[in-house]
Amino acid sequence: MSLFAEVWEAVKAVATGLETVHKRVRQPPATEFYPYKKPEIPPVSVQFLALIQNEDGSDRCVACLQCERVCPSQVITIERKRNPEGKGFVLERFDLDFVNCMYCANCVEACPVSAIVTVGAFEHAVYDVNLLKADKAYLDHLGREAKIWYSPKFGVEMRTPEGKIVKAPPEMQPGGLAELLKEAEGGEGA
Amino acid sequence: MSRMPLSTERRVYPRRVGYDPTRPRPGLERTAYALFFTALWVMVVLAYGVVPSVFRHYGWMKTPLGFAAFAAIEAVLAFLLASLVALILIVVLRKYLGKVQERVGPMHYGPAGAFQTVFDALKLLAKEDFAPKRADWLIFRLAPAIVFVSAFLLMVAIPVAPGWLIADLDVGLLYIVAVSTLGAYGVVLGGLSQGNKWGLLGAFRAGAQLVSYEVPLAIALLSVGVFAGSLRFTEIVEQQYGLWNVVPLFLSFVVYLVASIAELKSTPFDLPEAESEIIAGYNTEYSGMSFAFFFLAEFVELFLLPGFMVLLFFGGWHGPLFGLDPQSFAAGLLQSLYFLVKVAVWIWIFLWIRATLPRFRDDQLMDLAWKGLLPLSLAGLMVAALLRIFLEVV
Amino acid sequence: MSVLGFAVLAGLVLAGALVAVLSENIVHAAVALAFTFFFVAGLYVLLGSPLLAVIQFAVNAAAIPILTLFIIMTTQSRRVRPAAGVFYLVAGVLAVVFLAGLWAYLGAPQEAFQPLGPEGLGVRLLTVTLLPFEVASVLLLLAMVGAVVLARRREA
Repeated sequence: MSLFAEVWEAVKAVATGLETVHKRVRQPPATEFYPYKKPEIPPVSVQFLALIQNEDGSDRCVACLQCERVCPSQVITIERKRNPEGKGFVLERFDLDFVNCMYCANCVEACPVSAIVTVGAFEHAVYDVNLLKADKAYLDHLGREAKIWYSPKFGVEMRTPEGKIVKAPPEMQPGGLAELLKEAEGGEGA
Repeated sequence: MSRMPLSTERRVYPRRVGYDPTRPRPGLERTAYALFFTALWVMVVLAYGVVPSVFRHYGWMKTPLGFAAFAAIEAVLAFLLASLVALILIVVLRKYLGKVQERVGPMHYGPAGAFQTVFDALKLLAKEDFAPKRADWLIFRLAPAIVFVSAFLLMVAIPVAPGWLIADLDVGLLYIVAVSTLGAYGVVLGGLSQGNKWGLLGAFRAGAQLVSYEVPLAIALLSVGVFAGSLRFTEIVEQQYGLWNVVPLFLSFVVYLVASIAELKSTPFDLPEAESEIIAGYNTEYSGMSFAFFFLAEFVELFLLPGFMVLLFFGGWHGPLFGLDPQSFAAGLLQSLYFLVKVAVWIWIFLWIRATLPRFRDDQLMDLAWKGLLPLSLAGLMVAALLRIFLEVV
Repeated sequence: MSVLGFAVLAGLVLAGALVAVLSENIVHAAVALAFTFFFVAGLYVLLGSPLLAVIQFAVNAAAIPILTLFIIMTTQSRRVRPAAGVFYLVAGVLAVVFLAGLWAYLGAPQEAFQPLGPEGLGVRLLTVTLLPFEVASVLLLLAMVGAVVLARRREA
């Protein structure tokens, strides 16, 4: 008798499986239509690095060499000279070798002025490995193209359509949503 | 130092042929797949209906030259039909598995990827047909041919409408039992000759599985023959006019269903080519057209085994005829359509099972064959014999 | 037509049998044996008995060589040649037996040959030749029981 019970159990299990599979057929695909529809990258994620310039087009970078110093892969090369007009330094060269970069974003954390930041651009596959050695012009270009970027010092910043650089609203900041919720709850309690 | 190219300058999209997947047109996609089915129908009508009818009508088959011409034409037509079946079933399988797994499946070549297989076939044609150094060259080349020929020979025996068949064998059932064993040959020889451990393991598994499941399959087929009192397909189908065989011979039907899935080597019985365990099993070292032949044979069998199931258990070409004479050409068209629709439904069920169940373990597989299906098939044979005696007495 | 077919098939049977006997590679020999059986099935078709041809096809040409291949694969066996003397002795004895059979057949009066269909064969097996049929099935049953006993796992 137990044999028939076992067979019945097996038949029921297979039927359940078939039903589950058949339900899946009607569901929309869970995959992304990638090359045609770009996925939305969250603002706080290390996809690529870029140099940010001020609104007037001058470099944010003060050439302090902090990033060059902390870089574990030693892929950042900076050459600088004294500023002839005032104090400080100006950049002559800022090279970043993305072939050997390991995207640890230590440079972003070390930067005192949030000049080097993480951006969401990620399509950088090329056929020639030499093309992945970026110079200052290219890093600046990436910064100009970026709509939104992140650095630990300033948080998430974004560029308005008019070209102004503003701090992103709190719900886009890391942990900002949780703080907003906490505030809202506290407000209700008070 | 060279400058990195700007991201706006190098937007490389995948190639697409005449169809933009970003703007799907469901009407066009349905039309493409409906055209596939129509092409299959036309090919079946040509190969099984028109050419044999013409040759029989004019009595050309009696002369040696006419017979040779008939054989040559039918060989070409059957090869085209086999290619068409594989072409359609591969893309249907990929689309269906995609939908089940919440993907989209092929989509770039043709409407909803309908022409994907054509391009795959072109790729396989262009590839080098490579044989490893340690392979037994003669047998390595012979194996895909044997596998394909076994699938090809099975196509001869299948009738699609009354009088629409290539060869009316009076031992049709025994013939398909005999010929389907040939497929096991090719698989075992292919795995054995390639000098590869994965191939050898695949050949072991394939040999054990195919030989084991051949036994219940043959007994299930023979129980239908016993019940019908004939081994001829046309008579078996005619005998089902009152009641389809699936009702009185339900046990044999279940055995045939399970054993034919095992013969197809599709999940849950895909141990001979289990990718996650033994690379690709018996066709690990095959490339180019040799690999394509294995593939072609597999999908032709996916068409033929449900076809035999429909003939033996689901009344073949039975369906409403709207007052047409069953022997007329129009009725033949309609009946072959009924047959193809039934086969299509069963292929869908086979794919559904394939998409659902996980793989068996080796010893479970053998247990199921020898301890489960073999007694069940013998019981089915006894039921068939008893019913036959009962029907003759009453 | 049928004479030509017979000549071709007989030539192929002989060629296959020669390869099966003489080939150094045991897998080649097994495959050649299978092909020989296929061509013998073709001879049955020429003789007007498709039933016998299909049974030959299913049993001798498909089932038995595949089990042979399986054994070769499992045991990884090589071809072992008997000593030349034994070889020629066996060949001579078989040739004598074959020639004697041929002589006996040609000496006997020729009867009209009528192949049986599936139904006729079934009826004949279960009426005229019932005893040999049952004896053969008992023999096969014994062989199966013997195989099960041999393959049974011994309890330690």
